[in-house]
This record gives sequence, structure tokens and C-alpha cells, in this order.
Amino acid sequence: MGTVHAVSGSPGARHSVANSRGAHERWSVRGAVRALAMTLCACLLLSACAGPQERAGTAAPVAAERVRIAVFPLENLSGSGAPSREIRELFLARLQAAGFSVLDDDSLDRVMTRHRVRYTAGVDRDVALALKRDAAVEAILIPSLELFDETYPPKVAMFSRLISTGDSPAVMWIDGLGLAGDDAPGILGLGLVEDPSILAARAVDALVGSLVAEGFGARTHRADKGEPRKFRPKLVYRSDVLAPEKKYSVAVAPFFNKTDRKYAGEIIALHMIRNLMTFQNFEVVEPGIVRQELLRFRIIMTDGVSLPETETILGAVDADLVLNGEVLDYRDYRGPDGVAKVDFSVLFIERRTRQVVYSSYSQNQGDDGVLLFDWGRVNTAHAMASHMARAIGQKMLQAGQQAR
Amino acid sequence: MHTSLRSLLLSVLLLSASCAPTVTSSVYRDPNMDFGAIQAVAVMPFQNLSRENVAADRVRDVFINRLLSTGAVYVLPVGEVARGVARTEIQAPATPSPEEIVKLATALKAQAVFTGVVREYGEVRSGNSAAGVISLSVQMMEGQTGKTVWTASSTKGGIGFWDRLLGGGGRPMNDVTRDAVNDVIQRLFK
Repeated sequence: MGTVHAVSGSPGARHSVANSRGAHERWSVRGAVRALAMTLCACLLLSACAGPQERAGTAAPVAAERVRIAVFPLENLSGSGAPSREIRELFLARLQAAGFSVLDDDSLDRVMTRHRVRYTAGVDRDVALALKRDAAVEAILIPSLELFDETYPPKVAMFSRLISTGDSPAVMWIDGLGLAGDDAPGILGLGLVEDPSILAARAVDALVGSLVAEGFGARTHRADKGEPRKFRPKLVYRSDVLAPEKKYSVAVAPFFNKTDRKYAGEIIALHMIRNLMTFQNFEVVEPGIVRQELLRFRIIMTDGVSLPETETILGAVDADLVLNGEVLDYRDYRGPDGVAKVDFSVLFIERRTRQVVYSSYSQNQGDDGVLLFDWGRVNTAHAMASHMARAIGQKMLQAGQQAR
Repeated sequence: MHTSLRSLLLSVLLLSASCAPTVTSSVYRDPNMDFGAIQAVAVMPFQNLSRENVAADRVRDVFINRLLSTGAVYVLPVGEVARGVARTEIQAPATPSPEEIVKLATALKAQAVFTGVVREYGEVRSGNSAAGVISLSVQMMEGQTGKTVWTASSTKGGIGFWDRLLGGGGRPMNDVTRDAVNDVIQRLFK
């Protein structure tokens, strides 16, 4: 009120006006700083509510140009019951919506019956050729379910890969995704997901989106970004024989599973395939072909791959490196409390030198490096193993880092 | 008076000396062995005396990776060692005899063979505190003679003073394992 009276008054009054204006400006500056600080705090708090999310490629409206695809039955690696048929139906619907021409189940069954195809978790030469010849299929999609946990918060993890048909089947695209209902709780828990089928649908959407974006075009190499330090292998041996500029073809031999988790070996093998494929330097041989050769030569591995077996496998599939390893821990937790754990080692043997060119031991758990508000926490073993596998690829291609 | 005081002091000194623990080294190195000549080695499956099923596999895995990462020796792939064990018909790969070591080293073209024992692996509890503990010993046998040329052991982890005072858990088992393996391997290269 005093300020109003002083406007038309004496110089003293003007001085008081100037003072009051200065005070007012100071207050408004302080207010702005306070508001900024509050906004910053709110942003920090809100971001802390969101967990790190593993991303598959997002749906991009790229025309699939009526590519004819056969979708194999879902490979259930979860070790428990899961709605396999429903998830496959989701894949079929999303692929058709994206413009793919999907081979109908009756035709697929006829080809499978005629050629006595029993193994559907991989594609060998005979199956690839049969589908190309009998059903004019250009590619085969193999969906693999790693985890389907309905306990709150639900968790879903899956892989999917596309293999070309014909004489020499090759992995054209592979991606995977691990989601948990509490990955991004948001304000007041509005982002929590309670229904596992919603998570499954999201995962299928993301995978089909990634397939549309990358499956038939040039591979986009997503491995350029460095993985967080915590996911790097804990012990590494890298031989100078490995040239970072050279392109390698890799045959993945079965991993030894020394965990309680069923199919942990197959899961880590898929993680390695997926993440090695993100590097320009690696081409991965379709696991179905490696399996076919292992059966053909009656190779039974008791405790890892030996040098004569390495030579046989690499000669049969014409690859440069054989990847082998063992899984010591692969654990997802049920319910809201717990921590995911992954522990495995890998070994690459080179065909020319017959020597181990890379060996590493990786171990992480979901709360590694987490200090505040679960910031940086990883809720699924899938998401963690994916980071760890990519860190291995990066380590392999780092020149001049022989040992750590 | 002086003599009795001196004898008393001497007896106290002798008595207190007898109370001191016997200090023995946890490392043995054959002084006649040329460790520089070793280029390729085989690591046998470790013997597991702990209650944890995969303890021996885990420790062997860490040991092989750590040994390889030193760059000093080449460690044969575990599958190749398993093939050698099968070919030479070794009945107990974790505890081979000197003759079996010679046969295996010849078959694998390795200059030395490592064996190991995991004596303890897992969590120990005391009151409110819990911590991981590992105890292991590793031996190296010369490939030509089957003779033990180096042994070392290490124990890491357990409940420390601060764990006891403040409660809570100790370090993760994997960190403790890596520490123990590093400790053993450092003793090989000293």
C-alpha cells in the first residue's frame, strides 16, 4: 500500500519506490530460482520412479512388401506353463497388420508333417529348403518365450528371430525384450502393469516393430553406444589374434547349464546371438544348422567343446569362431522383492589357430550400482544378460586390450 | 638379586615366545622348477568339499579366466581337458595320480596340470551378521614327472569387525571368489 502512495510523492518517496522495485525484482528472481529448484527436484523424483527399460526397436510404419513368412510354434524356455498359443496368435495378428503374408497353420502343418519336422526351435537346411519349395515361404520367424511370470508385478521376456529359407538359411534378424510390471511405476504408481497379457502384447508389438524396421533392410547396428561399466565382464582374456577390423562368422555351440533354471544355456546362447548380431564384425550361424551338424557327427559334449569338435563344427558350417560357455546362475525373482542374478562365462575358439582367442567371466545382479530410489535397477535377468552380452561383444572388438 | 631378576626375565621371554603361533607359509615352490618354461597348462575339475553344488565349477571358471587374463600361460579349453581325461581314462579327474598327470600332459601337450580343492564356499552367519567366505587351495604338477612344483592356498571373506559391530552382510560371494583366486595366482607369479 505504501508504494502506491509514494508514486506521486517526493524524491524520498521515489527512492522508496526504487527500493521496493529492487526488492520486488529480488523476490521475483528468488521465486524463479525456487520454482526452478522445485521443478528440478520433481523431475529427479519422477525419473527415479522409472526403472531402466530394455528396448527392442519401436514400431515403424515400413511396408513389409507382402513378404511371405512362416511362424513356428512358440519355443517355451520359461520352464513353466505359459499361454504359448495366445502369444503366437498375437504374433500372427501383428505380422499380418504390418503387411506380411503369413503362411496359414494348415499349410505349415502339411509341410511339417510331410518332412517330419519335430524340432521347431531352429531351422536346418532341409526344413529351410522344404518351406521354400513347398510353401514359397521367404523367411521363418521363431518366437521364444524366456519368462512368463504372472505373480505381481508380472514379468515377460521373449526373443524372436527371422531366418531366411532356401539352400543356406541365415539369421536375418533377431531381437529380444524383457519387461516387468514395475519397470516404470510413474507418479502414484499409475504406470504399474498388473496384467501379464498386457506386457506380452507390448513385447510382441515391440518385436514386430523391430522386425518391420530392421528385418529386411540393412542391419542397423545398435552396438555403437558403450554399455555401462557395471555390465562389463569381470575377468577377460583377449588374444591379439582377434582383429577388430575383420569380419567373423560365429557358430554357437550349446552352453552348459549349471543353474537350477531350466533352459538357461539356450537363453544365454540366444542373448549372445542377439547381441553379437548388433556388431558389423559378427555374423552368426543359425543355431538350427549347428545342431544339425552336431547330430550328424554325433558330437556329445561332456564338459565344453574340444579342439577336434571345434574343427568339425567350424568345418561343417564354414565359420571362423566357435562360441561355447557355461551358465552358473540365471535367476529371476517372483513378486515385488528380490533381485535378478546372472552369472556366466564364454569362450571363443578360433578355427585357424585352434586356440582360445577370447574368454571372459561375467556376473551381475539387478541392484548393482543402485544407490538411491532404485535408480538404475534392472528388474529382469533378460535385460541384464542382454547388457552383459553386448559388453562382451564390445570387449572383443577393442583393440589393444589383451587383458584386464 | 640381579641374577634372579635376569633369570626371571629370561623365563618370561621364553614363555611368551612359546605362546606365539607357528608361522608357516601357505605357498610352496619347487626351487628347481623353471616356471618360465611353462607355456600351456590344463586345469582339472576342482574337488568340492563345500556344501554348494556348483562351487568347484564356479571357482575353476574364475581361476581359468584369471590365469588366461594374465597372458603368462595358455590355458587349454575345458572341453579339450575333458577329452584328454576321457582318452587317458582317469577315474578321478579331481585327484589324479602322478602317472595319470604324465599321461594327460602328454596327450594334451601341456607342460603343467593344475588341480584344486574348494574347502569352503558359501555364507557364514554370526548373530545378525552374514558374509560370504571362500577357502581354496591349488596345486601345480609338472607334466613330465607328475611332481607337485607349486601349491598355494587362500581364504577370503568372512565376518569382520565392522560387520559384527554394525550387522548386515559382507561382500558378495563373487567378489570374494575373485579376491581369493587373485591371491592364489599372485603367489604363483611372485
